[in-house]
Amino acid sequence: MTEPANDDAGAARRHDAELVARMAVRDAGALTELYDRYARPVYSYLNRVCGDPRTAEELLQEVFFRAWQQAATFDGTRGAFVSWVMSIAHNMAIDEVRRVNRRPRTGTDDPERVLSQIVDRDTPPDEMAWLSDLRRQLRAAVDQIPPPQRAVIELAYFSGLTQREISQRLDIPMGTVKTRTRLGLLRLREHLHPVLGDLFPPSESSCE
Amino acid sequence: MSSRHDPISTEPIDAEPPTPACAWTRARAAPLALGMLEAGEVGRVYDHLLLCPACDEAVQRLVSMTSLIGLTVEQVVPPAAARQALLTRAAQGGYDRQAARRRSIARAPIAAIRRWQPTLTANRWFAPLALLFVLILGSFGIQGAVSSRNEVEHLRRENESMVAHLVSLSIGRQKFGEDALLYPMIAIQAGETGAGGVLLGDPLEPRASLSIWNLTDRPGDYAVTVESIDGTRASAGAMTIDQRGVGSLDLHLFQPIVTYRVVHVATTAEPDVDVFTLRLDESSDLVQQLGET
Repeated sequence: MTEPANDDAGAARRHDAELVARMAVRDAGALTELYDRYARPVYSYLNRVCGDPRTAEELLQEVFFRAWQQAATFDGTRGAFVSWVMSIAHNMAIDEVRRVNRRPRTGTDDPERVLSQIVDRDTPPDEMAWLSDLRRQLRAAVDQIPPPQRAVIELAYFSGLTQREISQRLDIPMGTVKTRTRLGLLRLREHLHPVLGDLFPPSESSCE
Repeated sequence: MSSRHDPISTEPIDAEPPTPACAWTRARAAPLALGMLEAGEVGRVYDHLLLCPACDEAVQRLVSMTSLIGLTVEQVVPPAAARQALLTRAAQGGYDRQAARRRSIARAPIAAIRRWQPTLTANRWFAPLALLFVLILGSFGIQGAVSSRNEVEHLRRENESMVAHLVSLSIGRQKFGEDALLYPMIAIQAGETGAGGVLLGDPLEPRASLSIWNLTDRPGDYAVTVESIDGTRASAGAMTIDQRGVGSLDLHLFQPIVTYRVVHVATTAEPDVDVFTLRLDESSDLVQQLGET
């Protein structure tokens, strides 16, 4: 059996892919290990978006159960498990927010300050080293996004607002929303690029 | 490093310039990744992604990167009970597919649900599906959903395109396996639309597709919401009704389709206001007759 990889993102990605493959053949031990590795960041995100620990707990179970059910569809060549499970969590959280509220939900009156406020400055003592490092670099990358672009990303990602709703909320044209969205993600990509290679293997179609 | 080597680039990864459809899709990759794309455009993007592996990969990689933003939040330890609940649920629902299928069907909301016969070949779907259409058509007339003889004639004129569309549902068996469930849906609160539909999906997995027809007077983009047995609603995606009055959508579900019995359809401009509602046809005779053919 492969030893858990805690220090290197590439090794962690490969180990996670092995665990997902085991989940696909209904190995509950693999589900347990993946849950233990990622339940905290997933729950933390769900709790932040939903603003309700009970809802977050229910969705946490749904996220991992869906990963369990759909393990056979996971494609490790397209990204790391942590990205996959967080994207599942994102979809479920946004659906939940829209279902419950049917209105914008920001948790703050100043959306431009949200991402800088919500980041965690402490590292959980038992967190995997590479994950701590990734979170630290994500925070640094987010800090590099200009506040107006960051506000648009936050309102979409954490509050579930559509482009039109963000346009109305910030009283800016739709075109500006789209531009800020694109530029913000480009800036994020630019600053994350050095660390993402381990999480996103090179595309097969990119080989020359 | 060129964009072709960029693992998360939204730029084309093909050597050839993108088509206009590719360019249109790539321009919406960022809002799609953030979940902020208007519902009416989401379906169109996914339609393209189904046909274009290059765009699909580019968008998927952007989604993967964007999803990491969620890692920046303050870390909170989840309740210990959640772990055990998950493992118990997985143990009960994940090992024996056949047993799970039986449990799933046993708690199906109505008797009208019928599993497709595993022995049916793809070609043999045509006859039962066509018969289903005729039966549903008949039920509209009998139940008064179609208010006049002219409308019946109108529906009959739509028969050809409708049956052709139903034939396309044979793909559903390939998508969802031999255990695929079929839910005939009938329209309620539909005004004069006479809309009908079919839900087809996996009995165990949260995978299903929805097809709707007879909306010839209302082409456009629609937001689709599913309602579960306990009345909980969840957004399931967006679909485009074409000029023939037909549309289809791969639903984004939390649970297998046995959990759902109502589909709400609204315009993307007013997603909270139902244009019409499709309800599971609880007249089990329709499906029983289908099974006897």
